[in-house]
Amino acid sequence: MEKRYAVGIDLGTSNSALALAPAEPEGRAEVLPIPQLFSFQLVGELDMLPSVLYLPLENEIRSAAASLPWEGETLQSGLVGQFAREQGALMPDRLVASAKSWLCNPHVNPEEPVLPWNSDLEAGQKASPFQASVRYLRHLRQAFEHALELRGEPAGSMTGEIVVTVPASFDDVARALTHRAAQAAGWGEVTLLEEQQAAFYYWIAQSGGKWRDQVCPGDLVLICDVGGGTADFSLVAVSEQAGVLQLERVSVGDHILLGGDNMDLALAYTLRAELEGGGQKIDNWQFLSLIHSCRVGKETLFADPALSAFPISVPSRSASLFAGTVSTSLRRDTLDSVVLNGFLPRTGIAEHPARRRHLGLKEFGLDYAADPALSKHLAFFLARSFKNTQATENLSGLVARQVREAEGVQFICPTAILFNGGVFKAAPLRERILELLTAWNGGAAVVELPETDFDLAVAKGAAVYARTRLMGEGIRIKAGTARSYYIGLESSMPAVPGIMPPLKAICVVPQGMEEGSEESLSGRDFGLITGELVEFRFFSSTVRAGDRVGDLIDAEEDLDETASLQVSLPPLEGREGAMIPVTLHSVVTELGTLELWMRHEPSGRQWKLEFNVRGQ
Amino acid sequence: MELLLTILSLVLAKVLFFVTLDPPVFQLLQVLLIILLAVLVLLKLLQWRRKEATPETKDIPAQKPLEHAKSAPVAAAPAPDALVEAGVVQFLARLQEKGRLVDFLMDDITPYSNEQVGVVSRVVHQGCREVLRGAFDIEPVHSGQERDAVVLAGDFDAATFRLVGKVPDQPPYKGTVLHRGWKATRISLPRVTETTRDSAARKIIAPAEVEVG
Repeated sequence: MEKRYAVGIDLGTSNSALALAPAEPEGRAEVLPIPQLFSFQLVGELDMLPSVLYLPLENEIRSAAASLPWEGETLQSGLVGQFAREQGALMPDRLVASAKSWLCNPHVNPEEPVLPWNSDLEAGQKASPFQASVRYLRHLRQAFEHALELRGEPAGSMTGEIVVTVPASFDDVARALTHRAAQAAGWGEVTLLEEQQAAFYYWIAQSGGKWRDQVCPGDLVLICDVGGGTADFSLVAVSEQAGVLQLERVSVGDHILLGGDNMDLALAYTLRAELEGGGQKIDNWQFLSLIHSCRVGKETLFADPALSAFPISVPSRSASLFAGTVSTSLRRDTLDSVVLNGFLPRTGIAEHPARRRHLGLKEFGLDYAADPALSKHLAFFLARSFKNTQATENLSGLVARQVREAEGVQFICPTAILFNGGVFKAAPLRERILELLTAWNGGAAVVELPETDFDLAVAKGAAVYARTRLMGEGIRIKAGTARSYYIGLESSMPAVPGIMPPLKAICVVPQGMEEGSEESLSGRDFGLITGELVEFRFFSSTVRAGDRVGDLIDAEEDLDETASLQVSLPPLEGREGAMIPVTLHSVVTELGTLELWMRHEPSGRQWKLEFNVRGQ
Repeated sequence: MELLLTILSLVLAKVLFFVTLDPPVFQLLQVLLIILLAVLVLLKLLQWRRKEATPETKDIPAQKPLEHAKSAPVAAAPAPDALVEAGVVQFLARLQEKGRLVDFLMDDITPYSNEQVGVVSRVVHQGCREVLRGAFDIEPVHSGQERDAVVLAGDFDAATFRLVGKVPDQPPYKGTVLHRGWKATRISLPRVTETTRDSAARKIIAPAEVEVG
């Protein structure tokens, strides 16, 4: 069937969006409105779909009269979007949020119904992080089909190139789950793209061909992406080959659970402390309203430098506004000290985020960043990018001009920066990051690439990339896998009480392995017993660009344990229970997912290794 | 029905008066005419009775309309008017939820000082503004400033400009802008959808809130 649509899906941690690009080279990507509930009686449309799922009470379902413009979705399966967030704030026990962060949590099985986290609801009512993702993606698909219907396009013959974005820092288990969730939501085969790259594609598309004037070979662009609850950094190098500009993503950072919502929360805590210092108490409901007002205040003050304060009134829940309204104000010096100096302090390149305190007892939950200073996270990323790129000749050549050393730290300083995420609508935050980079760069200016849509660039950029895939024209960022992957091998040594045998890891997928390519681990056979389930430990790293397939390294070095892999070989004919030699092949599919296969060379038969769901 | 019976009676009367017929047929037609007229009178009487009865049933709360809805399932789907009404009530509910507008207007603000009213009005302003901006893009009708001098041609649109003061019969109309006017350039109202459910829930502007636990 001919593919006709280029669709971009930004499946965000706090908000999702949907964009469509026409199948013509210069057509603009447009954001499709997403119908969602505004109350139990009202349906409206917004450009963004808050990625939250509210599980309503039976009585609420009975009295609800609002229905979405499509069939087949009942309130029993929960409701998604704007109203879900508002209602869920009043009943946190019934609100599933941040499902995406749970997808990459190593301690929790993403297919186990564990959300809402710490809720007293019965397991049957809860949802798994995977199910919640399916639910959001299904809502987006229905919104998409509805939009097509309104345009008089036959929804049944929906064929298109669909691109779903994931953070660059997602490991392969989380990527595979996202891919599978899109399939379960009815999108069919989708291609995965890193969010930070999507933002870059949008910048290229909206510059209308002028982007080539804004960067030149040898430039390094930092993509600084801070969303509602997460922060991600990527570096893209610009080079030249036969007179044509080339782009290559050279480094990605960790997934940092720190974002704009943390700033609003920090402001609200500060104002509450001020109020309490003045003898005024506010309850939990008023606190919710205070957080909201702090967000409005933050945006207003940042947008208008002439204002010195933003007055805030916090009503009680009572109908009499006059009886319970508390008034305060968000002053500019509070905003500067809490947001600018709290989240983006003027720190040196050698100051890196505080490591998490390891307490004896720690409550499981999301791994929120322990250090709120984004500037330290950024410094750490730039230093680590240096380490990663030095391992290969290609990467070190690309960044060579931008290697700096200061305060005993070697790091890479970008020449330009592209901001993404709603937080950066505030000019003072962008200016502070530029100031930091310039200081680290020894005073040489770092260029800000103009971004026109901080909220929706990722969805639109994903649609642009989908069109590039659809039509085979347009520039592509050379990227490949952001991580290298390893299988753990236990070394053979005599057992000694109290000492674990040292673990070695063998590289099976090198960093930067491109889509549509295959590697095989030759010269090392695994002996597998047929008819038994065999498990492997699986590791990954974002800082070992130099490792090639087959390299053996110590597992303690910069490796994160990602998951376990398992494979069960059906007995070969006439060789039940026998140990057979197999070789390992790794494939990065055209769609951006990773597959590992065990192949028995003599018979030509092969078996796919499956990720074991994580968690205890 | 009524019309049909009237026409039949008229036709019968005409036949009786103008056509010569055998006596038995003549008598039969006479009887038929009387029966038809009697039915017509009865129908009219019934109608009067119903008209008098309706105001009474309105005074009986809740029960009657419910019975009515049950016996006639067609009435369950709200008429277009009811949908529009529900839409307005629910938009008001948004203004209340976000900006506490109904709380503010239902309170008597006379005893409070201007400062107290000022504090509260920030709640109303911030919330209602959010709702308004979500539903509309609002721009001034006159793109210049207030106190601008303007000249309107004879075919000006009276919906867009309102002339006040001493207005001559003939153009040109020269004047000064007192108020720039407002127009909605984008309208994206949340909607209520047709439903077969009881629409009582749609008259709720804000539910009573009960804190549990």
